[in-house]
Amino acid sequence: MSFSRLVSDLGRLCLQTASQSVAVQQQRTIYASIRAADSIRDAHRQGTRIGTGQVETMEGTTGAGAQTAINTSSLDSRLPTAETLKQQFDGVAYHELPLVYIRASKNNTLVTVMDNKNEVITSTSCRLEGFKNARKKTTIAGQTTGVAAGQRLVRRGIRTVRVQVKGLGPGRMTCVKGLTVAGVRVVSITDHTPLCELGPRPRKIRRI
Amino acid sequence: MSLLKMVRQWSWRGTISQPFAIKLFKGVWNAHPRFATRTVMVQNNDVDGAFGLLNRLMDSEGMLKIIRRTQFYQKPYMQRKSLSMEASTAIFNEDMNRKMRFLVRKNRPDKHPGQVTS
Repeated sequence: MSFSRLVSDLGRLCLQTASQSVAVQQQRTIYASIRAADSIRDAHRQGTRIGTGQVETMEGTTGAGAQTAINTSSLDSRLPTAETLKQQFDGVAYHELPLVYIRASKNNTLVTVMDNKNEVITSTSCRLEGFKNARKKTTIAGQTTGVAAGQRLVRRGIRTVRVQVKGLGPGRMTCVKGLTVAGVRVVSITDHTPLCELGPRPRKIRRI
Repeated sequence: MSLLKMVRQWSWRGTISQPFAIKLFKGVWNAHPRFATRTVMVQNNDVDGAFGLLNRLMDSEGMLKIIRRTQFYQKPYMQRKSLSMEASTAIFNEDMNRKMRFLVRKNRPDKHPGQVTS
C-alpha cells in the first residue's frame, strides 16, 4: 500500500518536473507531429468500426428508409384488391393485360413481354440496345432498354401493361420509367424478387 | 479460472445455418396469389410515386433486409456481432421509446412543465 502511494507520489513528482521543464522550454504540445495525430485518429477509427462485412448499395430502392418522405395518402386505393383482377383498364380486364417481366440484376437489365397466354410478345436487354460490358450496369442503359421495349409495344398496338420486377439493380426503377416515356400505360408494379427460404448457402463475401 | 476464460467458455460459439428464415417449404413465395402481394397500383402513370410506396412497404416489412442479408454468407463472428448489435439496439430503442413517451405524455397536471410563464 505504502509502496503504491510512494510510486504514485513519484509519478506526480515526475509529472510536475516534466511540466516545469515544458514551461521552461518552448511550449510544445503533446501531439508533437501531424504523424502522431494521424495515428491516434486511425486508432480511433479502428476502434469504432463495426465490421458487418460487405455493405452493398442497393440500387432502385428509393423511398425505403424513414428519411425520405413518400406520399402515403389514399394508401388503400393504391393497393390491389380482389376486384382489381376483374377491373377494366382501357377496355381490358386486369388479369388479361400483357405482362412485362423485368429482371434488374446488378449487371444487366432484361425485359420480356408476355401476353396472358404466356406467349412472348417481345424481349430485349441492355446488350441488345447497344450497351456493352460495364455500361450495361448503368441507369441510363436500363432506361434505354425500357424505352425500346415500350416503343416496340406501341408499334404492336399495346398501350396498357402490368409490370413485374425482379431483383435490385440499376434498371429496377428506370426501366419502368422508360416504358412510360415511350407512351405505355403501366397499370401496376409487382415485385417478385426471390427471397431465399430454403436456398443454398449464400456466396462468400467479395474481397476487393 | 480467469474471467476471460470463463467468458470464453460460457459465451455462445456456434453458427446459425443461413439464409436466416423460418423454414416453411420450398417456393413459399410462389404459393401466394401472384398479384395480391407486393403489388402497387400506378395512378396517372406516376411510376416513381408507386415505386416509392412499394419500396417503403417492402422495407417496412423487412424484405429488403432479407435480400441484404442473403446476398453474402455471414461468417460466425459476424453472426455473433450482428446478433449482439441487434439486441443492444433493441434495448436502447425500448428505453428511448419509454423516455420519449414519458416526455410527450398527455393528461399531465402541469400542461407545460418547466415553463415559467404561461
